[in-house]
Amino acid sequence: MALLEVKNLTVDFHIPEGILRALDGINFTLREGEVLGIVGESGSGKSTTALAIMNLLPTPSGKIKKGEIFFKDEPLLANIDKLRGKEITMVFQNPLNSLNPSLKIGQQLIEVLQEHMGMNEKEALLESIETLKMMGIPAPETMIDRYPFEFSGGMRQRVMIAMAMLCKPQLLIADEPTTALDVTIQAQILRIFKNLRKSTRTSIIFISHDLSVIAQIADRVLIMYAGKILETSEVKNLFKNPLHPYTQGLLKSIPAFSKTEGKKLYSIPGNVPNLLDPPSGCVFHPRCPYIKEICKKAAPPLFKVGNSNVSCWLYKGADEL
Amino acid sequence: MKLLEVRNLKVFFPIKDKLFGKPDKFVKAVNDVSFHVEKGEIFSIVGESGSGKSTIAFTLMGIYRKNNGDIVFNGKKIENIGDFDLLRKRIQIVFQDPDSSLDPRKRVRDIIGEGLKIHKIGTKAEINRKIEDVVEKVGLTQDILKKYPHELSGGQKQRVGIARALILEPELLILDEPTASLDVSIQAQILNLLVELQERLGLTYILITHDLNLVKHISDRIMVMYLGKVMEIGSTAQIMSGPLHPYTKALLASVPVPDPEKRNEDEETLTGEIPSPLNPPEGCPFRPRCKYSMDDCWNELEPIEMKERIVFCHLYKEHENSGGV
Ligand SMILES: Nc1ncnc2c1ncn2[C@@H]1O[C@H](COP(=O)(O)OP(=O)(O)OP(=O)(O)O)[C@@H](O)[C@H]1O
Ligand SMILES: Nc1ncnc2c1ncn2[C@@H]1O[C@H](COP(=O)(O)OP(=O)(O)OP(=O)(O)O)[C@@H](O)[C@H]1O
Ligand SMILES: [Mg+2]
Ligand SMILES: [Mg+2]
Repeated sequence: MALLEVKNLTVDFHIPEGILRALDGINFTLREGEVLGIVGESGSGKSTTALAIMNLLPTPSGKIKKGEIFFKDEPLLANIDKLRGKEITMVFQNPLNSLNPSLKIGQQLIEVLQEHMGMNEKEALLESIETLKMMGIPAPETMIDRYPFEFSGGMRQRVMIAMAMLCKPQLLIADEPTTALDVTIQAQILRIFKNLRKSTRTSIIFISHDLSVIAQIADRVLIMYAGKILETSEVKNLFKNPLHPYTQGLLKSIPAFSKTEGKKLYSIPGNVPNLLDPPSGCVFHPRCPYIKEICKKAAPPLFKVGNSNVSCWLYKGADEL
Repeated sequence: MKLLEVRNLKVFFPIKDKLFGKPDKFVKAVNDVSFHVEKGEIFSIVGESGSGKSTIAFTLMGIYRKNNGDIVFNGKKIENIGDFDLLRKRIQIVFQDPDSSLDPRKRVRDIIGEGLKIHKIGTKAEINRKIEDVVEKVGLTQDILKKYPHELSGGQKQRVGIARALILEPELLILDEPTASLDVSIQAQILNLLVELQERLGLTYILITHDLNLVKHISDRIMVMYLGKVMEIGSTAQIMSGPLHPYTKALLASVPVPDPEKRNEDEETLTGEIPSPLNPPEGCPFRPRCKYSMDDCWNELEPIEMKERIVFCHLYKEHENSGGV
């Protein structure tokens, strides 16, 4: 069953230079219990997708222009204030900004449980310690008496995940939860997510620009580029049989994947487009090795190829969605 | 041939006492590090945040002062400020973040030509010719010269950074996380440019990076650092397919593999955190996180040399000079 359904979502930012369309009619579903990876380069619209779902787009510049979001078949935005923090939680891209620096970690966790779960202080304390333990924080009984600044980056990220998991949400959105961390710490955090998917029923949207991380954690993947979803695929399929030329290029340019002679890597030519002045037709056409006349004129619809969806004219003739 | 040799380098930063302003503690950012770089190779320095990689780079550039140790370049010991002035032409650096390393008030032409002016090289016409030459070498077009940094994309900025370094015709180029701030699809463009320049101009690179996939692909030899100390040095093949130091093993096991069929569900993730550099562990700095730690590990370690590779780990004491494990 679909837990979350995003339909034709379009988000604009009104900035002094004009209107920037950060999301241009994206469609996807999140199934119950799955880990959905969202991959894309900087500015492709990953965080905007997350913030739109949470109804936390920056005001007044960010606006949902079109589209709908359903959570368990109900319109989400009408109910989000009740759901946020309890049923739907988020780990933000910058963890420093999202903990209160002047409150002890324990207090922050306990407040969440008191507010959303109606626990008394003692129950909330025990539950907080239990959750911190689950995140691999050593000696949580003493850690709860510390302030955020006394924690390292990796420990702070664990606390953030603990906070997001406290109320056993149905949906957790994690926005680049390992990007700022060293690789050994990243591996520890990924381990936590791997354990979460085994031990809880929480569905997870895991955002990252790193395909290697996504390969390790996701069940299904969305490939985003310039405010569009170019491809949706099961993770194994995506790596074995990438459909979109952009996905193919991204995979080929990973050093560990490289099949080129010597030290040179495959590289996608050109630059990421400016969203204030996006390309006509397919957003990827200026960089695409397979460009055809139609690609400059019309944005391709989603075609269904096997179990994947791809937005590319190369697959014209396949079933249109 | 050895282009650069660094022996027992120590770089310490004093931490000032808040009340009295006198240094009472030191961050031992680089603590007794020795290595060499062969002419024409790509020598990579890897290690997690705070391990001392950039400090080594800044010290070679004469930006930081060394507390101890020798730097030998082309067979000549670099001692005083005059030596470092000479060295600054022969060694150039490309920084991680082109945004903060390019002066926003200057045009690209002046940014690239700055080094020539500082070192008083050439007439105005010669300088201009060199600038136009190098712009082409790094794959930019001449119209970029009139622009300011804010008018450039991330990849273009990094090309300008590379041009600025190359114009002095250095022998050694230090690349400090040269692609970390770039978009994934732009990283490969910049790497290819660097590889091409190295082959064409016969350059030597020291590559500093977190990205072990990249290191594996591009470098000839690797030095692994942890908390200011060397853990292991060896050829890329040696380190990648047969790491010796438990830290190197853990580091490699932590690298996510870009293959969903190879999800290592029980990979050994390291426990614990990197200790504070103000209070490093006695003996081997990795000891508190090492699952093989033993009483010996509290003692300082001498390098153990085995066939072209060096490892700082008590586990390998009996193998010393035996030619392998
Ligand atoms: N508050 C804002 N005001 C104006 N434009 C914005 C704002 N937030 C995001 N944008 C723009 O919207 C687009 C999408 O940004 P978004 O933050 O969603 O990208 P992202 O995929 O999360 O990138 P990153 O990998 O850098 O986090 C970008 O062009 C960005 O510049
Ligand atoms: N100018 C300075 N003053 C004081 N301490 C410093 C200075 N520069 C570096 N350090 C300290 O020295 C240690 C080594 O830092 P360095 O920047 O060399 O690490 P690094 O390996 O380059 O890390 P990263 O991967 O994060 O760039 C760190 O503990 C750092 O805080
Ligand atoms: Mg983002
Ligand atoms: Mg550094």
